[in-house]
Amino acid sequence: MPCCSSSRAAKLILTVLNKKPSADEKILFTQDALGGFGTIALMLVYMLALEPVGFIISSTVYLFVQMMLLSDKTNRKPVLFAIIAVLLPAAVDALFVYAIKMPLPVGILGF
Amino acid sequence: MVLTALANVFNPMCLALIWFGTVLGIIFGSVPGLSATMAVVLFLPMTFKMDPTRGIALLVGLYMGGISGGLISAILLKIPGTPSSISTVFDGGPMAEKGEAGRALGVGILYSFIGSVIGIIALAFISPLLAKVCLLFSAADYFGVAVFSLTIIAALSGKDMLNGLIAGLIGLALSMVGMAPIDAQIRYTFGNYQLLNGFEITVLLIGVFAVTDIILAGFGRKALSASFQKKKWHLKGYGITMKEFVQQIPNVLISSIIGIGIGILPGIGGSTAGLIAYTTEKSRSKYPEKFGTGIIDGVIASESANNAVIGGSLVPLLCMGIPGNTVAAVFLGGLLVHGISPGPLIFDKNGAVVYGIYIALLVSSIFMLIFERLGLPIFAKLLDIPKHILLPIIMVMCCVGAFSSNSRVFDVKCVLFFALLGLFFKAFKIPSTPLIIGFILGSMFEENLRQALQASHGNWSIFVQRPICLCFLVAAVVFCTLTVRKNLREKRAAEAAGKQFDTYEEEG
Repeated sequence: MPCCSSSRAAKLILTVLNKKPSADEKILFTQDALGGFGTIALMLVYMLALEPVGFIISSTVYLFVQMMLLSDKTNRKPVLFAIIAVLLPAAVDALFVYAIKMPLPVGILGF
Repeated sequence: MVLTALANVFNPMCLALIWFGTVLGIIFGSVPGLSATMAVVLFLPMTFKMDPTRGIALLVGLYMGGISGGLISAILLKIPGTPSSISTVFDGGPMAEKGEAGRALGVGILYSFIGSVIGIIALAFISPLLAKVCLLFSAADYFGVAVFSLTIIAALSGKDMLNGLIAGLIGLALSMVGMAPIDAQIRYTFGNYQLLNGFEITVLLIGVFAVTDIILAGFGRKALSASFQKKKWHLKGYGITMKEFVQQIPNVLISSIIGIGIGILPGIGGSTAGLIAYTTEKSRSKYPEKFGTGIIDGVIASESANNAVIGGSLVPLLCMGIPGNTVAAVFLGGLLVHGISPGPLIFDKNGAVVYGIYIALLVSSIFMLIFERLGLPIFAKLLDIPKHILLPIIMVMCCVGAFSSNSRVFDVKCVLFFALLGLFFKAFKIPSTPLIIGFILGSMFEENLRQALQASHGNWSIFVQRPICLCFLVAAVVFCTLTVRKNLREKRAAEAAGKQFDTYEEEG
């Protein structure tokens, strides 16, 4: 079984490598590289921070930065974003921990 | 059994869950960028702690509302809220421009309801019959079915069969991480104890279907802030007269049957059903030239078909454990967590849950009929919520959902891995549905292969000796050949006409 799947995997990799990326892929990634890769980097930081810092704080920071990243000059309302960023994780935490009784990651600060 | 199911569903908590699911589903369905699949995936982890009937009832409501809600933005914004509503734009949009948006909305909702009910009736009648047939299956036959399903999904999920197969095989490979079936040999864990049980299906779904879309939104920031021009509308009742209703009966029946058939076929879903029903209705109509200018026939065909898919997609799920589309795959996860394994014996072992599903579907479609109509002004208002606020909130909910299946942050990191995989797939125009179905079928594929070989003492000819298995394998080969031939023909025709050949199809 393992040799079967590894030969299949090798064939697949060769096939995929042979495919030339079409014009669409270049458009997809270069269109707004800052927005796209910024989002990915932000998600990575968020996920790495969940364990040490806890759900509420990391979600607050993530929400605020992500909303600022995705909005443009006309939409940017830092005050509104900050309010949502603080209220939502707290509400979700309350819902999950107290109502549904499913625990969420708690960081070194204890919440 | 039916009485137990009725008692399970018709209590205030369960009804409230169905209502909540339906309304939330309509919201998810109507906002472009959120889909029915995303809604069901997000709420799946929350159903784990619930009673099985209630958990499934919530998912049923979300599914029903999600598929139906797409028509609101399809008509008012000319942008489909979910991929299933693509064909509703063809006639719904022009109707809105002519000032008949209200009529289009009313007709869409009414026929979504009718299509759903026809689909549910088909589900209730076909499943037990199919289950009896499946009882004759042995391990080798299930292997044949798995191969056949994987081939169909690869073939039908887009016009490039190679891409579909790649996705399916990657899914299969991903399902091999962890302990092997039968002998529990540890594979592909790279020494990481977290992977001993393999990847969680919920995590894969959240990553590939929800988070990928959010990352894509990050890449297309300018499109996010584009303000949509909404059409005004005015509606009395459901916008259709008795005479027109009678006239449209053949339309509804044919479109619904198309929807049910496409729902049963594993791998394809609402968008294909809507498109095929639309083109079929157009070709059998007495006035084909009017299609596209704004007549209710087009909206009816599209909406009844895409809602009939709901019932159809649950047929192979309940009878064989093979999901008919991505949402059915989520349902599979929901059932498995509660210890209910779909397959022919589900009607005997867990009959109450099965009947509960049917009843919940019916209740949900009635709720959809009433509340979508009543709540139209509210749903239309919700289309104004800015995406740059909505999407980060969804991302946080995705992480919560991923975390809650096993209470591990590792699962959240897996979500990002799968999101990047999904991104890679989107960039190379590889469909993601075969990935999911390949992942799910992987265990069925391998376990039955090994059990069959054990039963035949290592003799591979068992797969051609058993008639049912042989049938399915032959069908898979035949299907492959026919699809490849058709695709090559289409490709040559498109190249001859100088057009770019688009091989990508969406799912939702």
